[in-house]
Amino acid sequence: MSGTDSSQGGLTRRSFLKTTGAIVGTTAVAGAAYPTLTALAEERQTGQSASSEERISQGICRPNCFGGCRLNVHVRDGKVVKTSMAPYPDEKNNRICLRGISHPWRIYDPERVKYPMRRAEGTERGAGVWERISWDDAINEIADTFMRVQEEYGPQAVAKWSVSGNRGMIVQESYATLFNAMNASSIGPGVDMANAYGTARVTGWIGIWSSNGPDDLVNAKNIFLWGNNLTSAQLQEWHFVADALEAGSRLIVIDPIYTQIAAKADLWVPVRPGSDTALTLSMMNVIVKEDLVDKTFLRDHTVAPFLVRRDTGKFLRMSDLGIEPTEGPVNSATGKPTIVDPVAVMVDGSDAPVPSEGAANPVLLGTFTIQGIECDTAYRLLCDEIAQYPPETACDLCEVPPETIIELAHYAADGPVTHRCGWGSQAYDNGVHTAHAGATLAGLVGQYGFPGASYGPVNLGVYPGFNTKLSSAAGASTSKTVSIMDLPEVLNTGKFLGKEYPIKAAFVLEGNPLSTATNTNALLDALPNLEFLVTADSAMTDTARYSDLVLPIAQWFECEDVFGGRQANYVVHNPKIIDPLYESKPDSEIVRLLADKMGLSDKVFQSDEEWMHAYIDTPAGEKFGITYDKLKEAGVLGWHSSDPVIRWEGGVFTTPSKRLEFYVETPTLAGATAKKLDVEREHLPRFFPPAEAWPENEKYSEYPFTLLSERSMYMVHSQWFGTGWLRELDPEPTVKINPAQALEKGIDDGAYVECYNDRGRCVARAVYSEAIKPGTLVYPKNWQRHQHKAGSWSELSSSVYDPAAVNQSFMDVLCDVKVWDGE
Amino acid sequence: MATQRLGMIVDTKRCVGCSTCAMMCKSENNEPEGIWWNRVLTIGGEHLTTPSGTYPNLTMENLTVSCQHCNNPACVKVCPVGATYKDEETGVVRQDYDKCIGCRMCMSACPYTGVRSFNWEEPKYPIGIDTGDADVPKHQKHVVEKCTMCWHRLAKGLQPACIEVCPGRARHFGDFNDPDSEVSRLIREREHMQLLPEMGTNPSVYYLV
Repeated sequence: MSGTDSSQGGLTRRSFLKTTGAIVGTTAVAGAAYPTLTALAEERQTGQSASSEERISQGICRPNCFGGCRLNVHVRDGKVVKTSMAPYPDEKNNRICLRGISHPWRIYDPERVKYPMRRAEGTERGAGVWERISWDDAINEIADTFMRVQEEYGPQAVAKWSVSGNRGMIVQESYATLFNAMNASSIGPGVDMANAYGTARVTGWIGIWSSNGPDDLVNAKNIFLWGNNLTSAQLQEWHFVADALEAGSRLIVIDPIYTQIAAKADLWVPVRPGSDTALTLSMMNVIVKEDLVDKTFLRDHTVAPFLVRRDTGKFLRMSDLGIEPTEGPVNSATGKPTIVDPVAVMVDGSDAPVPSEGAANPVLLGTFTIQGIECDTAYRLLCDEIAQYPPETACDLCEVPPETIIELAHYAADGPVTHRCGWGSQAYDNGVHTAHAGATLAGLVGQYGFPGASYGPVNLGVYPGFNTKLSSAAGASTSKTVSIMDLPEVLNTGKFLGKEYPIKAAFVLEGNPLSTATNTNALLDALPNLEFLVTADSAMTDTARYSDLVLPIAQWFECEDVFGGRQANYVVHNPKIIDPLYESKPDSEIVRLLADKMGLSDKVFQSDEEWMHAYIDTPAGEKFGITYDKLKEAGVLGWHSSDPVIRWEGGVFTTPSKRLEFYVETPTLAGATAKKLDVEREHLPRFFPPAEAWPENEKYSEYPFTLLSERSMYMVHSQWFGTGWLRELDPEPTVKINPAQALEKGIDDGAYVECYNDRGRCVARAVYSEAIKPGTLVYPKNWQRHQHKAGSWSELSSSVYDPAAVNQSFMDVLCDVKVWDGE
Repeated sequence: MATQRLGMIVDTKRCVGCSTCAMMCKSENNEPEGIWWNRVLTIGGEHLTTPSGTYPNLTMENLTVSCQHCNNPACVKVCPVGATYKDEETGVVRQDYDKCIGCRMCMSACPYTGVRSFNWEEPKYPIGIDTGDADVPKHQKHVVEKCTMCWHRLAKGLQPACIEVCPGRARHFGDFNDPDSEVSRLIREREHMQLLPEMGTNPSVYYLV
């Protein structure tokens, strides 16, 4: 058919379609001829184009993927017609992703929550029968119910239930202010905290999740990514990794799944799910055996030489040896002198212990009896622990060949080395040890405190200039935070920590816990004990659908907010760009309405502007030259030099000893929990098999698949679940299965399958993928229940957690899979 | 002035198949429901982001594929009405919606399956607004459409919308006829490929490998 003369006259679309009859119906489409390049340019110059009426403002994308990306919000005729990338002052931070681009769809989603809605009287929760009510009625009902419940059951009986979506500062802080003023309980989200606590107990706390800045990756010779699919979950960080690869860094990806970033790696290590701690301990075993340790760093910057008492597990202090503590400088917080009671170390060639600070050549590896007290050096205890994991032994646990473990150990010792621990490896029971072990590994070879050397999940820069005490000033809360894993039992028994603790009403904000949290059926079984459940959201999430009352909140460009940090060391401002759609209201306004009705208006700020001044105009902010007025004017202001952030510079940590405390003297609970902490086992990094997803588990014969979730690039948690543009790319729930195993199970590619265990089930379409380790199934997380043929993913996961992290064990799940029978 | 040969480079070492370029194209050009001018293809398994090989011996790469703006375009030769033509000044392969008679000869002649789409029905917009740039021409029923190289943006001295948004910074735009351009330099310095070179179309989209 080629060679057709393109100048055939007389053939129009209309006549062609009529003659071929290929398509029923025709339309004569009018419209200006497509302008030529020159004509279009001229048109622009004369200002006749419709685009001249476009208004562009800068907003923030804030779903808590850590991005906090600046967006250009393009408005025509009062509508957001486009979101595009807005620049940062330094180009390296510029970024946007497919979710940030799809805001127009999200804002004008036909399914958006438009009005306050009440569950129709006489219908069950979740039945989906709603009546539209006025804001007055909604606010009155919430305020009256909250006041009645607190009167009847005590202040703790109302709970603020938040997770991590809709992540604006005014949103977060306004609700915190109101619920503190009410002395309400909080439901702790228990999300992804194991690697935060695991690293913090070794390095000290400097805010949640820290490592060197992403722009420092290029300085690393070896980059380890542990259970970290940042090309989906933190896409904004990928270009820094790509730059590092171009500059010659070696990328090592440790992940059971062959992810996009695994495909970019120099070495991909397919590890057994839940065994990263054993692998890390084994790498340390090789490092010690081959004497690759950095002894100077161990001696001067870690607790390696500290003597540990066998009887108490505590460090041996000079006071234990009869040397009275002395008074040090006055502590500015307490106004009292600090007590100086140095930890004892032994030095070569002497029988008498000396204070650790200033001791020359302290003994690293030794066991002593001092004045009848048996002691080991902390390093001795660590070496004893890691001695249990020679590569041949670890291979059986983590399914990584011994020679690969040795190779990994060599790379880990060949600095500068940066480790990024993701949120996959820690999503098992005892996940805190995974990060504890990793942070110890980096210390063993001195990989802290200089360019290219770092261990941590991400650098979540938190701007230090905000007044974060505003919300706590609203009331001295005596009510508690109940973790979401404890919530079913607290609701069922009315008790917490052994005492009466009824919770009877809850307000869900910034989240969708009935979709994102584990073990949904346990929650659903307990929720009838809750008299009243309110959800504020812009979408009909699983949680909204199960609520008694749903409030429509303003979308991100329909209200003012501010952000500080989030993977760029800038404070960014989001003005109100368009009016809230339908009857939706900004969260801060909802708070003011509720406070007013509950007689608490003196506790909350009367306008967003007043709050912004109080939150931003601080003495600390002044030092950075950042005020609300300046921020509004500039849109974005920096608070850090453009050089990469380097954590723990000079090997100085924020632990009590200022050293890297791989031996944790006083392990603590991660918040209020009904569980007891086994202190003995928490001192050192140790491998414990996952609670459920392990061959030794008796359920394994019945449920032979480990069910892993992935954070896909088509949602952020459950946000964007209904966004049409994304659903065209990713239309329905899927579960990825290794083809050979699928064939054994008689599962065809594309068939609907049911994944199930004794907690619940979920139906999704099977996708054959060789990226999937045999014995595992991988599902993209957070499809909503109504988008599934049956069940939902969060039904299958368990409530298991350990008290050192109070962290949901998202991946510690066994199940089986079969072809769905349509029921 | 010498004529241009405008084109794009996609660095497959930096592309992670995230579809951000495709989404920007969708929004900027107000592409109707079901229409995508730019797509991600996986070189690997049967589905998106699935590898080839057998676990754990695997490989996977991504290609983003839209109109290749060929120097020797097969589509132009077959169009009976001249609706598809190569712009002499820029080398951009263009599509005149008003001339298009919907015969879809260009779609069958083009060796790069899927880069063109056809509006069988009246274009649908479930959110009820036109997105993207105001200068994007209206989509029409019974018309073939495809990547315009963001013609409306070129006219304003801007790059195609997909370029700067790439999270991997894998995309580059420029004039291959200008030896000093970034794209000319990149194909001088880096190993690269064109899609289906055996078809003799000589695309103006290059992939760094």
